[in-house]
Amino acid sequence: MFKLKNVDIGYKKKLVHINDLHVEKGKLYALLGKNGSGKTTFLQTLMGNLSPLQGEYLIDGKAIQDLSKREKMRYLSYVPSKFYGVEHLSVRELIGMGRAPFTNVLGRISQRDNDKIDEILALLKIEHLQCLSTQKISDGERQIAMIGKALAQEARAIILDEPTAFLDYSNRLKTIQILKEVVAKKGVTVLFSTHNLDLSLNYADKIISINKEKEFEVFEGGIAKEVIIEKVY
Amino acid sequence: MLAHVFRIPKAITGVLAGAALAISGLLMQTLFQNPLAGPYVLGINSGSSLFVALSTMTGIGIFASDFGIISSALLGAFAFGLLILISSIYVRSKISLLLIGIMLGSFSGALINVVQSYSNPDALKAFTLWSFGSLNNVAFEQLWWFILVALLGIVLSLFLTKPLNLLVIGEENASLLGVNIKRTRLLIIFIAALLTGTVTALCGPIAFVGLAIPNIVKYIFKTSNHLFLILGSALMGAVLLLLCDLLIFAFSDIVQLPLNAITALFGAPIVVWIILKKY
Repeated sequence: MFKLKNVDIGYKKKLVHINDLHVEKGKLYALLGKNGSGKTTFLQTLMGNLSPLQGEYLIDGKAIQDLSKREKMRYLSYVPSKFYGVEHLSVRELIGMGRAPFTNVLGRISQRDNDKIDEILALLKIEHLQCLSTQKISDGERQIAMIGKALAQEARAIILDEPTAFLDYSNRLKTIQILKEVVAKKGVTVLFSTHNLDLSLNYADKIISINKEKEFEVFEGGIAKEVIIEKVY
Repeated sequence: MLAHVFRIPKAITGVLAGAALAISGLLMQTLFQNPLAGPYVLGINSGSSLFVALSTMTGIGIFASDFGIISSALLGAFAFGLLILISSIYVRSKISLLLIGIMLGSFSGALINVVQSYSNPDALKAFTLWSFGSLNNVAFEQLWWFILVALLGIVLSLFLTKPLNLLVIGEENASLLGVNIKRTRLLIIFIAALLTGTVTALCGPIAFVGLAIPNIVKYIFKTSNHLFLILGSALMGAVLLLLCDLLIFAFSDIVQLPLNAITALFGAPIVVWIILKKY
């Protein structure tokens, strides 16, 4: 669904060159790379917040700069690495924000939106959290609520910037398992950056790595850890 | 008859000024995602004061009329509003942005001092009285245009309800949910400067209302929905300034309390309370 050809990315100055990269539909991708290798820059480019310095970036055959805001919303949703929660914003309201592309000018949630939110709460098994403030729940729960927001948007791809960076082991595992389940049940494309080798190698369908020479490479999910360490770190 | 002439315009002025300042405070807090933001701390008031001082005391003729004060206050508010908006793009830290706002305040304060040292005693006195803040000085014919501007500001903010609600989870997310970030930012600054500039021109620089009221409203209403936050802030801001005015009236036989002093007396402790609660 995402195709990049001969693309230079970076903030004003070229950071990484992408020769040829194809992100396929309905798969779980992990993005690995050292600190400063350009993971976040790449994600910002994918989301269209940063224009490629040169080359061609296509989403389903259409150049990113030709997509309207509305089309972009149908393709891309985002989960940041750290969401601190907002005072008096409940989990249900947060997920409801994902419905923004479908609501009117005042953001009124319709019955259809409510059904969708219920469905997502059930899928993520967080019905019991729905009335709690996003500030009062744990980091892990907050991250899952944020994934719920991304799902509510019904975009075809979810981009996550180090979603497990601030989580303990069990919550990391849980978050990755939920992402895997979301890919299987909803058929969306999920791409997350991470420093967690073991989990990503075990769960991701594909690994995108930015190697020491600042080149992009794609591997199948089950690849040996040693190979990645040798190439990337 | 006397009550009709003096009290009613004053009450309307209080309602409008309180609502306008509280809403511009709320808008700036959401824009900068900072509960300590407000038109006064971020220097929008200072911009108005500076431009008003320049126009009333330097004797540069074009601004010397009644309309001149309003237009120079608006000009100052827009100029400093844009300045703080541009700073916010380069300065990521919330505290740094507040410090820049405070420095803008000090800087314009110093410039005003310089201007004051050159000005004639009458202009100086008029400016000093203006800077105390007062609801008394709005003439009946100015009131209509004040009502118009305040209503325009409130209606425009209500149209921003959806983007404001989405901004609280971060600009990247809001952008992918359909918010035009650049346009929203500019509109917020435009509304905040319009409201603050108008109030400042007519009533003087009134501190703390814009900062304190939205926090009190969030505390009472326990919601992050801006539809209620906007209406609640307008209501509470109006009530607060009316109460301040009542207090001034109650003591008016003994002493003429400056409005600015009273809002600061209640506002400063609230700021400390927010800092203790959140930082």
